[in-house]
Amino acid sequence: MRWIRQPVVGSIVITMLAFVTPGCGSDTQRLNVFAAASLGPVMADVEQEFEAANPEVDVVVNLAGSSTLAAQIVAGADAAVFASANVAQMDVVRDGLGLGAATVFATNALVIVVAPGNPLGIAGADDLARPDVVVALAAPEVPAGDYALQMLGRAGVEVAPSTLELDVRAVVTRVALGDADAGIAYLTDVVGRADVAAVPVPDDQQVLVEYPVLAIDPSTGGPFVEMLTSEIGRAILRDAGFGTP
Amino acid sequence: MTLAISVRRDLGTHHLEVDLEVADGERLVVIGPNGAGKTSLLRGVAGLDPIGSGRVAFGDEVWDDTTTGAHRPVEARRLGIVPQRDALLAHLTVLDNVAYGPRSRGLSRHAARRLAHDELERFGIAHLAAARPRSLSGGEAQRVAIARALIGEPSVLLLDEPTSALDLSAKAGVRALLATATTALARPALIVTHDAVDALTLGDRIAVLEEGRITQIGSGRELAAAPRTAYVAELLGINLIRGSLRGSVLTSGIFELTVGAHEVPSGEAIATVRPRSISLHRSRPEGSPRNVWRSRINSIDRTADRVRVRLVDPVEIVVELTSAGLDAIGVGEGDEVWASVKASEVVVTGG
Amino acid sequence: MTRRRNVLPRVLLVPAGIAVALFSLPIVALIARAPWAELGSILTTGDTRRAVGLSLITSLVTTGIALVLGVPLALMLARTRLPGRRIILAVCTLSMVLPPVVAGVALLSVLGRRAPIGRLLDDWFGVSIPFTGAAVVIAQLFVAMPFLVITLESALGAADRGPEETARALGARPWRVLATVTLPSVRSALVAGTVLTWARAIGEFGATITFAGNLPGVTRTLPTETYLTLQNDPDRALMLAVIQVAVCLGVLVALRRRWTPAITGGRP
Repeated sequence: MRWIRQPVVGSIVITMLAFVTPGCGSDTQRLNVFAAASLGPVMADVEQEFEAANPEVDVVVNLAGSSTLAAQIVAGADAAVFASANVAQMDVVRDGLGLGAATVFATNALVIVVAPGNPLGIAGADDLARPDVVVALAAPEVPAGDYALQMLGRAGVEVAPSTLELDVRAVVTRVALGDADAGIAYLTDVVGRADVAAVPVPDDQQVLVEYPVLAIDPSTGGPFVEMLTSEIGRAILRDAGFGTP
Repeated sequence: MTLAISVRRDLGTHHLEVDLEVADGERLVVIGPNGAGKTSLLRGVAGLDPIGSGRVAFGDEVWDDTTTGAHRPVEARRLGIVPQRDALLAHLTVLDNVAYGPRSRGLSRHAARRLAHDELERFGIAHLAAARPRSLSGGEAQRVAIARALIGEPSVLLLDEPTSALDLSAKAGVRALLATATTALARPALIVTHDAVDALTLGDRIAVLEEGRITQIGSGRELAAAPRTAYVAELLGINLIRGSLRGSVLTSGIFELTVGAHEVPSGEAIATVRPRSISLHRSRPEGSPRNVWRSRINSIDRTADRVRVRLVDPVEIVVELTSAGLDAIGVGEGDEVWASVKASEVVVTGG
Repeated sequence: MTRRRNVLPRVLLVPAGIAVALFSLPIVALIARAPWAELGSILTTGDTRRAVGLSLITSLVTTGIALVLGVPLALMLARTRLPGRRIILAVCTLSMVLPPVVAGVALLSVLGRRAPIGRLLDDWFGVSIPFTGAAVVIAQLFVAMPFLVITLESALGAADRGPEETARALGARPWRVLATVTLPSVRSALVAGTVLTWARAIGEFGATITFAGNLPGVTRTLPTETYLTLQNDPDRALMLAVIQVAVCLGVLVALRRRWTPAITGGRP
């Protein structure tokens, strides 16, 4: 190991080792939670609660689009928990790894996002087809876009969107910046925001948005899922605008 | 028409302060040590650098006048210019280099090339037309640069160290070419150099530039006979003897000089002899020096403790010695005297 | 030909080899994993053709505009005593180090419909930049043009001024000096900078999606198409990536044949 005595080489090697062996040298147990991006704030709160109750566990939340996460998990990523924004991507993981049923822990609703004060007077899905309304939707390839299409189908409205965003938060950002007049997003994306307003979608056009969660590694992930579905988790979810079944 | 130059410019380490006139057909050489301001002067005249304050005019054509603010851009001065180094445009052929000026002044590509070809032929280098500058020898490249400078009847010629990048044998050829070409052009030619042989062979007049000022101006003969500064004495007070060389003997008229070891081919050549290496004697000296001849003192120039004695007949030669040395010999102007110099002190270069 | 003895320390082979592996293995894996059997059907779908066409058109328009704007900028920066030219150069190349998504947000902050200039355009001309092909080009320009400017500026800065002065002294006016001496003297940098700019433009994703959005045939370039496809059809996404690599290689090889001496600086 003569070469490792050279300070530069040595420090590089040690740095690299530190990266590839996380948690090395500490007693805490690492728990990887893969969660849909829209669950970010919720997961941060649940993580805090869980770590307070289980000091020996270090929860690491990996936020991304559900389909990206599903692909990573199927490809062998070390995930103990998967919380998806739709059932389809959960099925991808269940089929891919041969796992049992998942639990729906939260529901969400679609809203039409408009500028504060709704200057264009958008009352419902019909107005999204108006030529003077610039509409931003999520791309059909991501869950929010798929839901939006379902909703518009139920409303019987044909919309020509100006852009198909890669994730639902970008839809809200478009409206917030004023480049789009309206968009379709989750209720939870607009709760507590002052820079956009929400126009509710009537029940007959509403789409059932369910968030399933699954402990991929039941021994380590199980307790986390339990907390998520407990009254503590449900309270956090409700604060963020989610429905709890 | 006359090129009139009057320049006052701060060069940082010193001031450039030059007033010069160059007449049609005259070759004025500005010589001086590095950093004296020679290139700044030339660039100022060309319009490439500011002149500070002053005036540059060619005949009635005012090129620069800082009192009126008149300025004629470089490209409108019709210069024939040979820059100091990398004179040729590397990405163009020799032909297109020579055609560049005429083309820039509005000739069609075809006409410019034809003109350039004629010019190359005039200089005997038409065979280089298709070559790229990179493939040329130093001497060839400089010939091309001179041809390019002379094409299309330039107003004045500006040459920056025209031989400094060349080896000995190429220097001689380029000097000869410059001499004939500038004579044929009959326009003012301003040549900047630090090479004494350039100055003495090319200069109708030589202006010595030291620390931004002209310290002496005159013909090579005048400067050599009576240098006013140590620099002039050291550099220009050198004797040049033209003649034909055969083996170790250079013949100039009836005068024969045995020269030191050399590699110059037989034919036209120039011998240089430093004034201090020549000794004077009242009577024919005894002993070894190979070159001994009888001559006559034309003039004596005393500066401080040095004396420069100008001999004429059979050749013009300047001898430098101490006042005491001259007094010891006891000769004066008009007297006959014997001169001697060792062969090893006589250096030949190509002619 | 005599073989020269190598003077480099042999140990350098190791990092150099790692570097080669770092570059080549992912591409090789990409090619190996791509579902070649579906190449035909993927190539002929409208989505693919629209994305490839849009990417080619926008990146070439970007490259053209980058030349028109970037060459004068590089000349100004390298050849004038512009006050604060170093600061200008830094500002003009800042977008190279900006995360592309941030670059997109920055563009929105100027040209968005409610942003200072975007609002004027909307009020005066009824023009809205985001969600248009123009926005794609602007996003690409913003992140790609610095490659041309920086390459050309450094070449111009290093180039000898002598030939330009000679040309002027020979009677060439400024435009002629520029065309016949200045630009030819930095030809290899000009070509290299152009190719880099184009490559960066055709691969641009983050700034484009953030500023221009994503709509098939209008703003959905090949990288966006690939990213979206990755969400639910990874196989097709891989194939699209291979197509992108092939398109870029094709253009580079075509250029290289024509410009080999320029790109390699005269080395065969």
